[in-house]
Amino acid sequence: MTTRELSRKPDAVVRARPLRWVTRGARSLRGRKLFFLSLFLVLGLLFLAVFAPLVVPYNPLKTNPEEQFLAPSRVHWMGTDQFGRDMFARLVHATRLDLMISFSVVGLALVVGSLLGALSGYVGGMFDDVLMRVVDILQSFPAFILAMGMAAVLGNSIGNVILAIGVAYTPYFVRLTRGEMLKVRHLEYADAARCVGVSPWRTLYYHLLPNSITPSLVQAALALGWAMLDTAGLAFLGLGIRPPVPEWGVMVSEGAKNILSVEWWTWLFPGLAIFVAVFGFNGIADTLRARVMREE
Amino acid sequence: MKFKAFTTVSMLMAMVLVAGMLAGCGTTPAPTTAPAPTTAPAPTTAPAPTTAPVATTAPAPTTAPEPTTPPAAEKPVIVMALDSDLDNLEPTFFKTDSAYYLVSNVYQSLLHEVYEPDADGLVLMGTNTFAPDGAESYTWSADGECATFKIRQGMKFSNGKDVTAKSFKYGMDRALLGPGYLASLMALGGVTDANQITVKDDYTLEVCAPNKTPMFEPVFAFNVIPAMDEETSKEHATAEDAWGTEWYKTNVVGSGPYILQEWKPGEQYVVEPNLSFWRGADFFQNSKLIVKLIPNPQDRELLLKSGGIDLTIGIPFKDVDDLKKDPNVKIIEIPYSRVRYLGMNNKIAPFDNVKVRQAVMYAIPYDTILQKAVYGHGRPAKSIIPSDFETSDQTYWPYNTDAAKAKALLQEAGVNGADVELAVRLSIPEDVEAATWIQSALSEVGINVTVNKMADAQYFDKLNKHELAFFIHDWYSWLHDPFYQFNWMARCTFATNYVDYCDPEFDKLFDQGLYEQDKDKRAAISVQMQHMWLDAAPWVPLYHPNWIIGTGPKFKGFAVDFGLMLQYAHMTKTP
Amino acid sequence: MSIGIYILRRLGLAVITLFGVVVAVFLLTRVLPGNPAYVKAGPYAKPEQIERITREMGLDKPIPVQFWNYFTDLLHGNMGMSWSTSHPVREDLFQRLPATAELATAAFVMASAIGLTLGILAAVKKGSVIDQIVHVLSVVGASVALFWLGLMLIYVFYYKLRWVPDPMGRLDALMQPPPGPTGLLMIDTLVHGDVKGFRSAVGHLILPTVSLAIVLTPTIAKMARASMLEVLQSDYVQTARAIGLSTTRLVWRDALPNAMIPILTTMGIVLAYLLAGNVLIESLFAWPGIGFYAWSALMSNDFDAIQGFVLLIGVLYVFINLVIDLLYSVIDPRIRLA
Repeated sequence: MTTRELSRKPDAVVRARPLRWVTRGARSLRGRKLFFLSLFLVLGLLFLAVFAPLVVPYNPLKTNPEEQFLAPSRVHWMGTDQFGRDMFARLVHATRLDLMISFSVVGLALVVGSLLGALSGYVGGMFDDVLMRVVDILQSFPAFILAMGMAAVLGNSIGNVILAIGVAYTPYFVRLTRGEMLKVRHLEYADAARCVGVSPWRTLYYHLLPNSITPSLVQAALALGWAMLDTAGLAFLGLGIRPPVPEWGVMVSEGAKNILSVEWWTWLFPGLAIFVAVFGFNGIADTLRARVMREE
Repeated sequence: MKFKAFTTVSMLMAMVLVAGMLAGCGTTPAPTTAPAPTTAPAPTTAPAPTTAPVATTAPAPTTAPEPTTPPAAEKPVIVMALDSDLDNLEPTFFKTDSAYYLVSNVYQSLLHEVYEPDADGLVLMGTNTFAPDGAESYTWSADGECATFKIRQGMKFSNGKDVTAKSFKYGMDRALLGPGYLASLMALGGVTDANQITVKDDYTLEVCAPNKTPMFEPVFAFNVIPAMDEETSKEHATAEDAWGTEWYKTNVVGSGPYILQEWKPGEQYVVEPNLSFWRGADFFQNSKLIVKLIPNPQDRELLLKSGGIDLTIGIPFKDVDDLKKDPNVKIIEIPYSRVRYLGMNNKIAPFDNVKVRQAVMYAIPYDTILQKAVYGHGRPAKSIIPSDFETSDQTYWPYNTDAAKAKALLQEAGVNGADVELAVRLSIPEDVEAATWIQSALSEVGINVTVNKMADAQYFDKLNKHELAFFIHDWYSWLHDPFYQFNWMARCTFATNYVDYCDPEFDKLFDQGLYEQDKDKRAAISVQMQHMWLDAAPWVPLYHPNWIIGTGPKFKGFAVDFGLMLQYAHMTKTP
Repeated sequence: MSIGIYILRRLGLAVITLFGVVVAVFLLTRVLPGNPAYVKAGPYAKPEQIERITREMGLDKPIPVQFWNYFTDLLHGNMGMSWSTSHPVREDLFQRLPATAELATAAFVMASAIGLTLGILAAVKKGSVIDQIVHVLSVVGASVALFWLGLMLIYVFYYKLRWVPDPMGRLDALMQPPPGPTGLLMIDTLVHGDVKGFRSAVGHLILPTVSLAIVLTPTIAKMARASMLEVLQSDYVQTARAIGLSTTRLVWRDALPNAMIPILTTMGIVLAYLLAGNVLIESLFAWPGIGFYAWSALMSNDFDAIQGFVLLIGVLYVFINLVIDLLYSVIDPRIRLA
């Protein structure tokens, strides 16, 4: 076999592996109920996010002074808020924003973190040492405080919040991927590839990276939930989201003003929305982790 | 980590650390180190021993009070909850409301405002007339330019030193010449030079103001221009800080009615009556006041309803009506002259065009904001001069909400849609709410607004530099005089004229009216200025909020004066 | 290598990291928009006054000089002055630290006790109803927003039911806290025999502790379960079972110590998270801790306070990690001999 063919063969083996536990997971019994419930919730949320304007007939941004604080009814399923805006419409539109932020945060942290971690584990040396110290420094800040600080420094916008939380999460992915990379880089097939003459970059990209990424992917699912909670927390404090854009955390903070009066729908539903989303992500993450641990 | 790299780096670190420690030992302490802070947070020295204040031989209108045994058991303890903490105790420097109330009660000024209690004694309102406090009497010279204050004898500071005319002179010099804003305050009364204040003898003080204004008297009722002990200040002064302001930030040496017993930063402070105060022990209706920091407004409301606190300031407007129906709670609602306004910087596009500003004035949904954001607990504001000030003209106002007019004006101005950023403080929920209503209304006339909720530090930084183009802020004039309001809010290049409104004609009228002694002429000038101002539309008066205070059912004695200084001595609870 | 060298190595690494933290946060605060001298001086300050305050705060010097001054001060234990409280930062932090520490310890103990019990139970009774209940509860607990949970608990248990005292700090309004020695009210009140104070302190601790515990127990429970499972399925345990050794003895004497290592890491993470103070909980319950202090400092551009807080947390983290590492090496001799 030529070099090219040799290097192609492990691709096929390597590429299939990350997906194996998903298909296997569907077959097994334990955790199936939780998994499917979570999957249903997340897919439902994604659907709402994508088709939001079609699902709700009301404009989530337009103020209607005459309709302030209407209780839930057939006209307004979840009532209206202090600006007369339909709560359900705002919740659904907020799905877009919150999901977008969570996915962006985790995407950023996962991609940057894994690449850096894999590189670091593979190359070692001074680069590895320095990077690990930087990661240590980043992890010395509690994630929420780091995100708070960065959002304050960079200014109050959604992009900056994504950047802030993303940077706070990146260290986890760096560590995880690097840890895996350290394990796999000396495995036989990597050595074999090197002996045969496959370039180190190719080895890294096609073979080792996909094999090191599994724990990171599991972590990513978990991180989606955390990102949602951290975003909501920051928004609750007033950082990141600019009115009148709807976002679940902001809606909880606005609803919290009504906790001692009768407008229960303003704080209950946004909090529930956060719960449902995070529950969905956590459920999936949980199942993924069970699969992966089984594999090992 | 590779051993070699590790060793090198750690050796470098060790060298840095050693160098740092040696360097640190050699230098004098940096200016930011505190002068030996105590670990216990007790900032004041113990009050003077409870011997009777010296009975005067001079004819004093009041007899020296007997040292009554402090009836601690009888008089109640009042627990108050505020949303701000003391930032510091220095009269020229403090900023928070909490500090303001404290300074007003631990320091003493020459005069005080006279109160009028309402029918059930719940509220005592200031009457805008002034009576002697630190001074026991005062007389005017024949030409009306000088006031001679006879200082009450026998008063002492909390460290035992006597209060004399020199103490008041020192306090006023400090205000005039020291750091901070108090000089501007005194200037409004007509006092701009320390030479205008002279000590005639130990207990006689003369203050002359050739250009006296009607604000002369109230300025001397301001407890932020108090009697201060010169010796103590000199003890703690440094080369950079001649007035000892750093020490006064965490210490009080005052002659006021109360003494600061304890300050736990971030939690609470406790004050107790100064029983050697010249009014005597019977003046005080409580035996102690505990002021707690509760940042969350819902928490404060909860505590009020459940009886955990006796008084709180700052109740969400929305809950006021419900609270009024609660038998466990009393709500005091005081209409006052604070105005919340939408600032448009007259020098930054697109607001440098008067037509754009007028368009915004027409677009704002005043009624909606008053009814839906303030829930009716406020009054419309239709002039730069609040309606409870004399000479206020609320009838010239043309800007009733009219989106069509707004659009027309924008077209005239040649502005075809604009993108602006509205800055609000994220710590003021009413402003954030108003911003959403404003944003919605302006989007209908083609102005796209993004609301930027800013942290206080950043907001004030930009505001003080006059860099905010579009912002929500508020203003309260301590002195209820139209020219006072004009001064801070509309004079060219004045620091608090954040929108940089500048009209030389307007300023000329101001100079005329400030010193005009004829009442009718003064009123006419004021009205003319108000009309000019409305035509120029420098900022949008949104509404005058009412001051809402929540108390327990048995509370009495909320005493408030022109400066919104709370006088603690009157607060009490019926048994 | 011996324990001594191991500790020194870890300390060395920790010091390097801490230095990095100090530099990083110093630079970050200088990048914060807004000159604090402006805010400190106030709106009516004349330009000379602003200049004077800028000089006083040392902000006119070049950044490396500022850093050197800060660093040397730090080595002498001087963390600078908080200009929003007018007190030295060190005093501010240490005054507020006991409040956060007490809440953190209480929540940590509750979360660990419940988490470990549930996790181990679930592992030992794998596949049973208990296991599934624990699993679902874990996911539920980890999915609730802390601020929302705190709000609801206050609403239900204080406002509606009056089962707990008011959410206003650590003690009843009129009570005087005992004068030390630790600053931890539960201990201090008992030391002074103040039973009423003790009950008040405990009462005020309940809601914030429960809020935090609900959110943190799942983390510990999951790790406890996973780790126990792994150990229970290992060769030597299977062998011991096959031989006929009793299960309980197995769990306590052999399985648990071996399972503890990853559990300890998780517990360390939870404790570190708690000690950093939680601004959401502290502002909801008017808890005078370092979390709210940090938030106020951030909002007021109070450089020294921000830096002091981050440094304090950094030191705490390092300390906790060190303790965990030491515990590791005690539990697992292989580690220290590596």
